[in-house]
Amino acid sequence: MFETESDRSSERGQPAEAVPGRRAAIADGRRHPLAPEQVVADRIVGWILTAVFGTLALPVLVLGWTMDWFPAWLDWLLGAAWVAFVGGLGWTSQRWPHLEHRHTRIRVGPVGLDLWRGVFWRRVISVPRSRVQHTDVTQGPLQRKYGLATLTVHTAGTEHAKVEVAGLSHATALAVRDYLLCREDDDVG
Amino acid sequence: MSAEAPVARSAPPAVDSRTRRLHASTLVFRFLRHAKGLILPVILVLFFASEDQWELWLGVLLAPAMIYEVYRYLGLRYRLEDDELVVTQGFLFKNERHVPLARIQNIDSSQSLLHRLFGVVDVRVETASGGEPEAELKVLSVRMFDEVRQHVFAGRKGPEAAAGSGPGVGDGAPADARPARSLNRTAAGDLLLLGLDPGRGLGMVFVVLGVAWQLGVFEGLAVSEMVKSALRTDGKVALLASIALAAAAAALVVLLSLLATLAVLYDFRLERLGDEFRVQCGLLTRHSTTIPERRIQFVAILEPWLSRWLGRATIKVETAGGGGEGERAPLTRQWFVPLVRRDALPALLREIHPRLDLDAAQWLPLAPRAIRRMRKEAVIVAVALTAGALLLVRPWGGLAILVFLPLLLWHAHQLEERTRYARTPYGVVYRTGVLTRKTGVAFLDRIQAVRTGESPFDRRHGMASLHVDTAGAGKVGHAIDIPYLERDVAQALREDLVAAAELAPSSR
Repeated sequence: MFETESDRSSERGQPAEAVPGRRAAIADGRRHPLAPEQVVADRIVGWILTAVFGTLALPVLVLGWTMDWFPAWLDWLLGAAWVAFVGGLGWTSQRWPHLEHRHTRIRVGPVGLDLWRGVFWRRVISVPRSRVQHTDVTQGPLQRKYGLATLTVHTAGTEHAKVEVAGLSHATALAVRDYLLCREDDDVG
Repeated sequence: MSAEAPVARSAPPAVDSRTRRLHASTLVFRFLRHAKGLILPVILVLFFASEDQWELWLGVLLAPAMIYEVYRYLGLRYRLEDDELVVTQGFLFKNERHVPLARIQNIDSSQSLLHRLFGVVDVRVETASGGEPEAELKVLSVRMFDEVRQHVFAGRKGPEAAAGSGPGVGDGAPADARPARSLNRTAAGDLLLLGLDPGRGLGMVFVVLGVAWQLGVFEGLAVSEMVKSALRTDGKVALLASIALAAAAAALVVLLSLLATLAVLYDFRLERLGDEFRVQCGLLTRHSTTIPERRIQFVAILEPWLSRWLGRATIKVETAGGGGEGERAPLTRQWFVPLVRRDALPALLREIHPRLDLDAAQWLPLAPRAIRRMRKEAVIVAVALTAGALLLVRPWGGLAILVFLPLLLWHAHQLEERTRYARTPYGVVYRTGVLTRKTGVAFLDRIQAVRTGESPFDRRHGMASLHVDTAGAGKVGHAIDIPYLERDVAQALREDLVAAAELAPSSR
């Protein structure tokens, strides 16, 4: 599920908890990146948005050109602005998911859930396991296509009443959910 | 028709599980509520209906509502059973709600002047489910309210007494047989001091002023005439008049704020009964609420400069669950102690949590380089403010830097000196503030999440901030939100707090 170094090492040094396969793989108290497919899914969303916004801005440009609304220099300027806008948006759509993915880590262990996120403003959100009220695992259409899911952890808190992890593989999300909710099988030692 | 009267007369101490209706005056209060809601339509009717028709129109508007209310009143019954409160509603579609007594967190009551006239109480029964109150019994006679409350508390204390929690838990006797311990009675003089705090009740004051303006009260007082005539004469008089007017307005604001504070918090009493706090206050409308100790999520000790100068502090608490988040939250809930002498503070805090002792905490400062960043920020703000002043008054506005810079630098230094935090056996405490000093206490067993954050500026200085999230946070104007920590210190504190929180029982 995770093709990462930390994951492989975790499997080697696993037997600390006698829990079957997939649950232990994620709840090992190590930092894991999210599923790389999420980058692809996010990029597709970004491209769609780029296409939509680019097309919406196009009529003004084309009409301005054909109907002679603006002076020629403004036409060129608007054209350049459009190219810059669509180019920038496209570049961001391409680049940002990767950056985000690189700075997002999840750690699940006996203490609870920790989430590293943020590219410029970096945050670590820690939720003790016993404070998890309930969890949701949701899948959008794109996420379904790539076997991904969004895990939402609800606490009784205020600002972090809802902690969302978008981009776990569906199986992992379910495993994390099971681990966080089933507290009897391997409680805090 | 009211099944209540005979019960009230004989008043048996043991709970009888007879089905009862609300007090008959319920209808009066419901009528008034509808009348209030109909003020606008009524005005329209008065304007547009012809002379002899308006009573008819009023009837058309009010009659259906009142018929519904009578229907509702006749249909709503409640009864107390051994371990639950049962509320049944309706004739055609019957709804029967069972509220287990053990789950009832809170019985809030409020009593306006009119309520007192009828000898009745507005009752809200709350459980931990959040959102709306579990049952609203509007209105019960005072005697019935006492009976309900007594029964609920007696039923609740049972299992807890067996578990041996809480000091002085009674042995099988009804809970109310034990005397409530008075913790605080805020004196009227202290309330006046509280009312002087200009931040409080200011919004309401403006509303009142606005309404008064709209109603033409000021015209009636001939104030505007005075101003107009003054303006017609020479400039000096006009200036004096406007200054006097401003002073009068300020005095009025203070006065209204005082009155509002007095009206709400008059005769404030905090009592302890078993593991609950009971709060009562109010001059005209008397509020009463219970705060179970286990529902206190966050404690804030606030010391505005005026109070601090007079050796007083305010304690506010945040509670979670139950009904009334936001607007509907009973006001008494957060005013744990409106104003208390500083020397009485430690004892009160120990009531909230036996180990809570702020003086024993090992207060730690912010990162050593925090002051440099704070100074830099002060300089930036001072320059920005001066630039604004320069735009307004050229060129002398530039001199404002002489005021802003020392002031803001002084503030930065004071803030750095006053901002301290401590990891304590029971949780984490954080204090900050220059003019209004605020101290916050988050308990391990109520911590819901912990976050560290690094802004780009933080990263350049190897720093981070720490935020502790609790249920119902942010209502008391203070939170554990510590800036400018050394990055390693912040991360270690986060890990430590989360691990300790995970081990602390979260049932409370």
